[in-house]
Amino acid sequence: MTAEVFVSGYGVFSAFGFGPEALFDGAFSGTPAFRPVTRFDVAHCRTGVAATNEQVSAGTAGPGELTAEVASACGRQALDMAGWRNPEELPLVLATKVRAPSGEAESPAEITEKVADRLGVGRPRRTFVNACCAAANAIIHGAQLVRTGTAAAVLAGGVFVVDRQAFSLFDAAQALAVDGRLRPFDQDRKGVLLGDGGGMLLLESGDSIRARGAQPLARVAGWAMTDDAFHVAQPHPRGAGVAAAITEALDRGGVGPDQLTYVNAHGTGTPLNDSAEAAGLHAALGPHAERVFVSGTKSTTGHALEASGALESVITLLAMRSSVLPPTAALHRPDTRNPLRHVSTPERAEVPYALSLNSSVGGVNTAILLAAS
Amino acid sequence: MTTSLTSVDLIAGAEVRSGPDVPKLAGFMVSDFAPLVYAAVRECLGDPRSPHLLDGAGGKVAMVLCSRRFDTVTLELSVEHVNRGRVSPILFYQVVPTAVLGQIARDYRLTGPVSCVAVTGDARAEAHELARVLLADDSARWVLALTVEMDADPAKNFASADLVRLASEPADRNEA
Repeated sequence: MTAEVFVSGYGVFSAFGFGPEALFDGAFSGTPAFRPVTRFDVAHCRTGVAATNEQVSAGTAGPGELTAEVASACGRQALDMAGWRNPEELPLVLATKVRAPSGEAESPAEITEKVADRLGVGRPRRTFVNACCAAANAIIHGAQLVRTGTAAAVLAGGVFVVDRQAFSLFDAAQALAVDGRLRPFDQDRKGVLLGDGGGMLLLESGDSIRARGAQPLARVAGWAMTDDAFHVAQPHPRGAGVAAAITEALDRGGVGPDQLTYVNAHGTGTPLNDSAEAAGLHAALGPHAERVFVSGTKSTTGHALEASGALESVITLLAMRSSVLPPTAALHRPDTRNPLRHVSTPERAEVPYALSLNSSVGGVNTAILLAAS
Repeated sequence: MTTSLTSVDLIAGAEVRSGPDVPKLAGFMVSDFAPLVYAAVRECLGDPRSPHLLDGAGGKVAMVLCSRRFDTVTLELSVEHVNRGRVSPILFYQVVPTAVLGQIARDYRLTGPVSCVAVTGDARAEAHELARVLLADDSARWVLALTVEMDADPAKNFASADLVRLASEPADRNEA
């Protein structure tokens, strides 16, 4: 017997601030949050901007402690929103980054333990570190724990705060956009920009929600993870793994491509990734690929790396709940190959089903299908 | 409150320790991490260029890699590079734990789920527990449950690979 999985609460953090209102005001108006980086020295870098939130600072505590603080704050938001009173019953699944011991004594799993202790949650406590798919994987794992009856509810998500280490590695690889804009699917896109991000979702079985007399915000109708099996660092040029993830998530949800209204794309603004993702959408959705609304919200929030799946799942959920689609900012000349129906300004639409997509180094792809409830 | 899932069958397993017998892995030159993981998988499954245990299994195979701190050698090197203001671009992907799994996926044609999970305790037990969840969810029919640990003493570096499936699965993998 398997359980249906619902979202009953969430907490979110982005460069726009804590909470859904700040995120909605920023991302859903198409306002990029990029600004000059002051959190660390970028004098030696080719690019000096990121979507950072000036209200949070690592200070002397380091990025690990800041990650724990943001994750704890997002977790509390999620529990409060859901009205969940028994945190000790909840497993915690957190996505974060791998860290060099000399710079950060706490290991990734120890950060999760710290967050769990602060929230008073139970076990298991798990830590996903698979790069840009880590938070989506954390949410999928949480959904799997609920679906298989392993847990009645799970707190799952991820946090990334822009730090000198990640910024410098992306800069050295010439992956950052030198024009200071992240323009997914634009012919003139120059690359990615990093952004702070965090999201924690309370995933709960239908039985648990009914027993509590609570209201679900959305249903997690399907999910999938795939690998391109193509290249260690580059995506499959025809988006084979992306297409497989979309197809598998829709199949799991019993949803046809024509029922899908909105896709929150991974959309990193890098030439290879966006082309592969657009090709994958066409391969999976066929003619409907040009009818479903698509936006790349990293154009406003920046790329939150390990946390992007959590931040973007929340954005997708907000689109569903508000019937407003967030735009891809700075999209002026969309790619003509594998054309998509881009949301270039905020648009009103009913969203019965929506996908959130992510991909990472190693050819890993995730798809999370949300359904209105 | 959580409940336990059913047990899994161990189909094959291997453990590899650092040493001169571990083959180099193109693209991963600064650390033993990726070569160890790859060698453990090859020891467990067989060479990818020959018939091996997962021939044709493709999308039905998941990989889970568990470790306390993953590739500390490359991570520390990347910190050194950042501190001196000159970062080698190759570290951009070498420092990411999914990179070697992408190489394994390509060589063995594995297109299923790929996860990396950081642990504080028994990495092998956690990899098996994650495998149970993937199998119970029908997200995979077989799971490569991998572990890797790097030590200050390179001679103690090791990786392990276990191929597991649900205990109730039929014996003939090819019928799937």
